[in-house]
Amino acid sequence: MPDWKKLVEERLTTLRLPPSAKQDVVAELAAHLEDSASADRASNEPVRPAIAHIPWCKLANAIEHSKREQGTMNRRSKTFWFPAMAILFALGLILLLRDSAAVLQRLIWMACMAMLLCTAASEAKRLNRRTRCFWLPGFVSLTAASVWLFDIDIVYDPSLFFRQISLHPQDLLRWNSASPRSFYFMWLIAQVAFGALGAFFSSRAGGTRSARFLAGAFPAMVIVGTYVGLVPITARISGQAFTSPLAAYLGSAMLVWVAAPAIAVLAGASPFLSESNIAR
Amino acid sequence: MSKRIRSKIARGSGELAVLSLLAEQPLYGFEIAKRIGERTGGALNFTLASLYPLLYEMEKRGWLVGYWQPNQAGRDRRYYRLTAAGRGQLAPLRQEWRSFFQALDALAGVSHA
Repeated sequence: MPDWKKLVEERLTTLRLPPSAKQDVVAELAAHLEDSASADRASNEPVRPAIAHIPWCKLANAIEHSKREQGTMNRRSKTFWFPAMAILFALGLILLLRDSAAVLQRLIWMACMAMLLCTAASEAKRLNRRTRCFWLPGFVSLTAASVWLFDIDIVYDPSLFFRQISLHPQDLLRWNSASPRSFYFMWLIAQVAFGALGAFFSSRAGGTRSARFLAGAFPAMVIVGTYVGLVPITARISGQAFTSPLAAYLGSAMLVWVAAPAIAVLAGASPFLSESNIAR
Repeated sequence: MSKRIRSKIARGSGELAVLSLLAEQPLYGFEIAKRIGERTGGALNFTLASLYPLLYEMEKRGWLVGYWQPNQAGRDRRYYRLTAAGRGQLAPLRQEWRSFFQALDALAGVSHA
């Protein structure tokens, strides 16, 4: 019995793929040749020298072309869609954090973001797998989260949220504190819906289980990054002091900004995380 | 059907053939090629060199998902199954081919040839 893997590997030297992807291709083609030889033997036909008739160089090029851009963003996504979405989202976030932003400006941003997402979705066939299964559903869920924050901002003062919950997350855990607890819980409950939304779109695009979860968790990750990362730095620079030791702040922040949203996102995404869901 | 269809025509129909087979059950590459050959009486024949680039291309588009799993003989094989996106492609692709055959029939009387 020939070592099919070795034979294929020797003939696919021109195939330029990441090592793990190349190993997968070699193993798959070797398995095909092995099955082919077994079938020939079983039907008492002479085992065809199939390997000699395969245009290996042409096959390597074709496989490389078929696999290219898988796992990375393609040029159009990298140079246009992703920066455009990132800029629009950043603009929206600035508007959100500025009390003075007019409602009209916010509506314009939402409309632009929706148009951009619709255009990107209409080009989904041309996008590569990661963009289609993670970035695009992630941005849909992020836009929904931003719209939600804009919406509750009409009722609650975002600067209160920014100051009190970000700098003193431990206040949320104290029952008698004056923390804007309802603002936080509205945001938290909404994570269930965002988790479901991102996971649903990722699942429709054939995303893996982790891609579906991450697409749903995208808004929470952005908020976590912003508040856990940027807020303490900004507070230090602007001279605002923490009322508790850093360890207590970090512990509460992990609970309030990481663990709780992760559970909420998981709850929302869970109907779309099962294996049977991919095979629909 | 006894005559083998020329490779350019066969290649064009590859997506529909693969999607139709995988809509029934997940299969691995060799089985896909074998079943296409069997069901078309050998008219459509996908070789290793024509099948795998097609499968990888369809996987990249998100129509298929590949995963390793032991086959009935206990050997690891890379199975493919349809995603929701792939399943969604099947009906439009069938319609496209139907329209193509109707157009070709109107033009060249293929069904009466």
